[in-house]
Amino acid sequence: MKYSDKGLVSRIKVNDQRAFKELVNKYQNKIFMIAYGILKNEDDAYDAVQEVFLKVYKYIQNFQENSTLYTWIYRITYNVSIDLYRKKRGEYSVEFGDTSKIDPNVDSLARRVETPFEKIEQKELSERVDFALSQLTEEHRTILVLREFEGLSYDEISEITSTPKGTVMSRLYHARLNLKKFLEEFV
Amino acid sequence: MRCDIVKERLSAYMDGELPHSEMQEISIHLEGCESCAKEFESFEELSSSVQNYFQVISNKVSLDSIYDKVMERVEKEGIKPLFKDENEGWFMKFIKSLLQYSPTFASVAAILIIGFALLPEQRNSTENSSKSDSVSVESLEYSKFNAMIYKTKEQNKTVIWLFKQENDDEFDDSI
Repeated sequence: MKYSDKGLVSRIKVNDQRAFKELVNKYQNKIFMIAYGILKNEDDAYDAVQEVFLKVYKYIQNFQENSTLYTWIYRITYNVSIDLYRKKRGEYSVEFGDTSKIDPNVDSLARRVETPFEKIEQKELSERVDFALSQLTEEHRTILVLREFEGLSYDEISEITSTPKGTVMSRLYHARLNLKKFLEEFV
Repeated sequence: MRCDIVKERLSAYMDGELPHSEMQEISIHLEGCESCAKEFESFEELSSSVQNYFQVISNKVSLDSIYDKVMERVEKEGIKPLFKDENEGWFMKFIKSLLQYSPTFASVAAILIIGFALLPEQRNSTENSSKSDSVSVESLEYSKFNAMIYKTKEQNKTVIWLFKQENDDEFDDSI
């Protein structure tokens, strides 16, 4: 059964532990994908998911509901992932700079999602997108995952990333242009 | 509208994030400009590929253990418990685990606990009868059973009610 965010928050605030578990189940994959989109590393994205829920657990009693639950959670996800990215920038730059072995974790993830029934084109496209995303800046990856995976509006992205709406629009345009360029390079 | 301006706005046009008048202008421009229309098509293809990439990964990722890991860290890092029952003593934990795994066994255990709790009270009933007592009440809820536990400190009396839930209407706030 699916629960509304408002219902979940109200129940968590009266100490209903099952509601917190529902919240984790509802958001864990979405948070993972946003963190993974920013970090491009499976293990770090997994750590980020834990960190996000720990913060949600700590601060949900103070959540005033001025914004929606998901924008609040995604803002935490964005901040946690960006912090983690900055801490590990050195490690990432080595991985991203090596185009023959971009990121072993990403590569294994790409292999894992493949099924025998998928066409070769699908696999190639996945690898190309993987490569192209890893070449973008974390700002461009962030905006792409929020828009293309979560389908968030520019206003919501602006709220989550604390960036003016005009910047969101321009950043997304350049992110797409760069992605296109890197996709064309990967042949 | 000039082609260079249109091309800069194709991304926002695709997302439907431009003002209505600009959306209309670009739509008309695309009908008559092959170069911009081609550029727009490539943006759509790109967007679709990225969406597909994220969706495929998302469908395959398994994060079943996240909740347990988070709760482990809550305990390990000494974070103030959000839920009452994380702070309970051994007695409540014992009853709770029994309820979770075997409600029948829990009923038997509850009867035995009440029996042991009442024996000393009966022996001392004369001397304790005049004393005032404090009562604590705790309740537990599970998918099929509820438990209500009354404890009196001075008389060392514990009474446990186990009862089956008839319905689960509290979850009506679903989408």
